[in-house]
Amino acid sequence: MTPPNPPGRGGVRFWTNSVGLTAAVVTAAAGLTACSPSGSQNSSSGNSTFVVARTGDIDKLDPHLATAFQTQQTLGLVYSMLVKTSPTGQIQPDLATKWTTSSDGRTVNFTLRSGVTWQDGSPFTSGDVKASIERILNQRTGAVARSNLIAIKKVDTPDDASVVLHLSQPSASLLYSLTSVNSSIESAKDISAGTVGKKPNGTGAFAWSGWNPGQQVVLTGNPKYYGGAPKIKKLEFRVIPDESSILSGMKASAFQLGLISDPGVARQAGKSDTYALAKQPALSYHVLMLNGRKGPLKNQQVRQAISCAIDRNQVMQTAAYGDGTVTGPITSPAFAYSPTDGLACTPGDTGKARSMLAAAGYSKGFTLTTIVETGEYATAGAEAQNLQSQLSKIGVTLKLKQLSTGPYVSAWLASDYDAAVALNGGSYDPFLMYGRYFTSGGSLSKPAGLNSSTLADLLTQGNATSDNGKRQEIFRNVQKELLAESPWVWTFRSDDYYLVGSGVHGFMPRPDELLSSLTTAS
Amino acid sequence: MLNWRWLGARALGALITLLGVTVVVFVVLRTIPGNAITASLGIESGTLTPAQRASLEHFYGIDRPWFAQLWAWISGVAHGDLGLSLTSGKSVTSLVASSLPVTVELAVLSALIGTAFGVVLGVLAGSRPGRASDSLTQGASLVGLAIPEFVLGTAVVTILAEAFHYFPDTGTFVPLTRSVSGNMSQILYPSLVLAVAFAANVMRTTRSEYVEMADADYVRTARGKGLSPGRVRTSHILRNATIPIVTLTGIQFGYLLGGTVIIEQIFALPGMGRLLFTAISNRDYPVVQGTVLVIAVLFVLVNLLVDLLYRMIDPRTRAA
Repeated sequence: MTPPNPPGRGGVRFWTNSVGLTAAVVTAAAGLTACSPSGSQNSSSGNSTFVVARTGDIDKLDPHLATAFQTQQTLGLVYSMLVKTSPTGQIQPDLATKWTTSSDGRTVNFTLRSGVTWQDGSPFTSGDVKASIERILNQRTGAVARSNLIAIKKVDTPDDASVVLHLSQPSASLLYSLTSVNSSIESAKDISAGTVGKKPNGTGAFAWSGWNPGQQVVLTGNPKYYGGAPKIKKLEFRVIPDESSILSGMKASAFQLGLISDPGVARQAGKSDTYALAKQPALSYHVLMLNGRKGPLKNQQVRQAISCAIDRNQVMQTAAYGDGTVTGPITSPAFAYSPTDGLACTPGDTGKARSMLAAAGYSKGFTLTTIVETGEYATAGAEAQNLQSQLSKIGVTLKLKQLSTGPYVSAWLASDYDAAVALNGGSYDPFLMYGRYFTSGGSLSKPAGLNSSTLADLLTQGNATSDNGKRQEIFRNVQKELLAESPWVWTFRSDDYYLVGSGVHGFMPRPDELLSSLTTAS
Repeated sequence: MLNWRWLGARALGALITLLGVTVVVFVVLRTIPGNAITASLGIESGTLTPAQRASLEHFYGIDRPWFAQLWAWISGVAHGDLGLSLTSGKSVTSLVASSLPVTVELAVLSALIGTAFGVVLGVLAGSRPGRASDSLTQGASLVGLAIPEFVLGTAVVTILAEAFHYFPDTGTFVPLTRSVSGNMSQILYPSLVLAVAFAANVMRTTRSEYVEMADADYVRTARGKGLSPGRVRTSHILRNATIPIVTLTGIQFGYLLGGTVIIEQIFALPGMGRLLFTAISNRDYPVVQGTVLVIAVLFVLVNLLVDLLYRMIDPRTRAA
């Protein structure tokens, strides 16, 4: 109903003017803000700050406890290891310049680099190496690398520049384990004082400057770094939780490097004058894990049928817009084998898969409760739906249970699942990829869902020999055995995406996602 | 005049509410499968030996019975100690103290912009119902309500970057007291995004109240007495339409204090929403509990303030 005495035209003009005035004030403020240079650049102290934008923050300051890759990326620049890997996985000197393994494989001698100092100024010696390894092996530390270094039974330090590791058994993967950020060498002084994890003090290319939790970590170039002082004087890791915002920031030249993982955002990146998009296949791999200890999955033929029914390329095209590489079990660059060598069929052959199911007595199919981790990586949901669609063609129903990290991990560790959609970390050494899952007594062998003495023996042999030719043959057989047993269905290795600012030189992405090249980039 | 008995009853109710919130959050956090160890280590937590696990449980303070943890938490709060973050090791009080001003400023600025636009547009629409300006304003408010904040926020960030090569400052937060321009370069755009839905809600309430009040007998009487349209509008229509607007603004403001998570993520603002989101992901129990408690306190305070405002605006409510 119309009010009996509405305001006249003057009233309307008053309100129209009010709206206009309010809008004008806000628009002017927004305009002024937008016309100024990008805020992020303003916040940096001069142009010398190199800003890396990424979605997550570090979660710890102790490299021995670090699992988040953001933490490893950051602390990997502050701390050094005894040895490191090249981007292709070759072992290279780091704090140790030379190493020799005894003929029985039970003793490893390291010669340490001379003249190295900690960022607090004190000299680096063999005592720091001994203290670090013993700290990792101490159960009370809760160190991530303990299970990989468990073969070390004693550490000797004949002099300040030598370290001897005595092993309980030969371990070819030991050197690779020592390249991990989780095996960083910490100062013996910090360890005994209990200050590890409070303020990082390493021997790496960058020194710790500060951490504003949830916002940024700031490092400064270490002028005394034994590899040469980095050209980047101030390095800031800034947390931008939304990948689309990272892309926008790169378009506005607010950051020098943007790290993204969502293929959908990478597709939007396109070409730009302000950055270049670099794609790097990661060591990690996408997989459908089958719990071989439950129901129909106990039957090897059933697992093979599922493996046969899945077209890996279709999963990759659907979930990652085709970015990545179809893979078999082993993603270590030095151990590249055919992804289907050992599989009982051609992937995607649903006819053969159906006949295999029928032969196993499951012609009517069955249902698998499938856990899917949400929120950790972008493609999980799309992978699960595609796998569900593909397996429905052979009568296998995936009942998807989407879980956040905590419940997902708890369900997986308790073997409370039939199938699990997962993104697993890879390694430059195949034993480090699968030793813990498929050897007898492997720390994750129960939830991994398969007991195979053949596989366990092969993995143990692969770790016991350091002859590269023999290792190649053994791990080729490991791959064949894994595909024949089909405890899991390996689908693809996804790409990591790096938005590299147009003014950045010398940045080289790596398969292990570490940012080591920032030590020489500018 | 302030009714102390009423105020005491409200304060007691607020305390009970806060205690309830604390217990519920505490229990819910521990009911969800997983803990700080699984959140931190993922499947690597399965590689821990019993001794390693015991050591980490002690480190994270989850080796004690839950009621002992709850009692320790409540005792700490009573002494002004919200505990230590399990991930950063910093005091929760300091983390909240650094993030609270960001969220409060974001909420206040959004509320101011939203209320200003909402009231003005609501009166514009309500003063000429059925006309083009009314339809246009109502249509705009529907669009404002329909667009999700994450879509609008992402669109704003993208348009600024594509069209102006501008990205809002995501560096260390600059308080308003240190630099107005520095502060605005961080807070203005997210406030504008949040203000859209705020304004749309206020506009719709203002319009409906205005239309209803403008038809009331006392307004007709006021006009019959020869009062100017402006006086009738402000002293008779708007004043009586204010209570629902204040109610809505108070409730919306309360929600803003705890509901800025998405916008803080998109604009990388270090506010309470982002602090809470990260803490939940990391199962950082002390930070989650401390943050939720502070948000609950603010919500209760805002509601109390709204009730007080009622009593100032409308003397009839003082009798209640």
